[in-house]
Amino acid sequence: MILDSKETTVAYRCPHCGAGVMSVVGIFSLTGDMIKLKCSCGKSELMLQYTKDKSVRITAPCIICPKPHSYTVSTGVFFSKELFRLGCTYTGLDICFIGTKDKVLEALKENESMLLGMFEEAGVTSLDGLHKDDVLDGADDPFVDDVIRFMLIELQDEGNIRCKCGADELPKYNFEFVAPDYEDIRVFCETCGASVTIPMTSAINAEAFLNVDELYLK
Amino acid sequence: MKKLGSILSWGMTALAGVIVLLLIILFACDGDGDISRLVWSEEMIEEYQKYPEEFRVEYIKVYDERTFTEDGYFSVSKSRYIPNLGQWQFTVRYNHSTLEYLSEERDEEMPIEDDHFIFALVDNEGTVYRDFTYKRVTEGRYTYYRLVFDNVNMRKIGDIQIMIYCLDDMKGDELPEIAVGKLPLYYSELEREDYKFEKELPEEDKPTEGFLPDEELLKGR
Repeated sequence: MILDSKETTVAYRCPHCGAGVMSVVGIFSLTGDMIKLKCSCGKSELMLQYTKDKSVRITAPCIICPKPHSYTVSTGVFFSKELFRLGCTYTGLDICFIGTKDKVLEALKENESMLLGMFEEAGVTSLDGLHKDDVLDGADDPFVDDVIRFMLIELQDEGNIRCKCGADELPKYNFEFVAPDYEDIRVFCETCGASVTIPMTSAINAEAFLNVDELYLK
Repeated sequence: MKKLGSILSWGMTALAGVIVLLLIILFACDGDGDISRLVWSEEMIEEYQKYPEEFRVEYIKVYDERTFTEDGYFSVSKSRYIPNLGQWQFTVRYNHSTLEYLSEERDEEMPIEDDHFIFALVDNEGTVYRDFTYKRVTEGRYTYYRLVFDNVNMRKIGDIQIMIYCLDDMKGDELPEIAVGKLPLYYSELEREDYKFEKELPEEDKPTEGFLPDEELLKGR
């Protein structure tokens, strides 16, 4: 007796090293607890889980956002589509591809070309371009404001900002760039006044802030 | 691949890269945006102001970001349940390629700017909820409907599905027999958790604007 085994190919792009990570997933391996597709660089992974209502939950790392995104699809979509793309909730950029191997490979290549094109259009043509002296002053840059605001909202949603507010007080977080150099950010609570100053004088500081899991305001 | 890898790894470590990425986000934005924020009706604001300690908004984490129909053509996200009002609100989204597919299958024109669908909730006991208010937004490759259904009886319910029907399939006021999409809204074995709604309070205590009654969808036929 020959079993008709269902399987599909799943792929994502590692936000740390840029590599396309691809693997074949079979229905029998999926009915276990969880499958993780890990990048060879070790810094990202995509998770697949079978849910109680017999759907497949996919948690995929995002090229743009600091946190992964989750999607729930039926097993029909997961195993039977030639190509199914999952996009970032905020930017719409495709971050995960499911389908036949050929179609997924083709989609990964298109995705790479598109990302390269977008980076080049934005002025990033070489590594040197990312360290220009005439980078916009963070204190006046609304785009940097948006990133910081987004980070604070995410941390607050997850309960990962602590301040001096009591149980019956509602914290309200804000930030400002610190004079005179405007190189540091001060995150503060408008309710209790607690704050923390975060240096942003180097790329390492910036990366540390983007990856922060918790903030403690004193 | 190596070039992309180098650019990406530097892009995530440089403050300049942060600015670049935000530029990309703004230029490429297809996100849900404001359409999926909590919808506040006058009744809901009143309820919150009268009983701020007891007021709750719940959600099912597994379904929260995006859950798709069997065929992948529609999805639902940001479902919220307000127990004080028996209200469900959620966002249904479809890619414009869904209209291309349906247009071909049904052999009819389906322009992006028109309304093509009507919605209902059905529970496992067969109760159908038809009254809702909605707001529609088209952005980038997608059309979004934020839908609000009130007075949904949740007692002893096993599951609730969102049914999507084509407006053109309706006979008078009757819902068609066949839905073009079914989405899970509630499943009793999945836990409902408290949603931190405080970050989405109504501005100046005013109801959310721009929502229309479901009858408006029927007018365009």
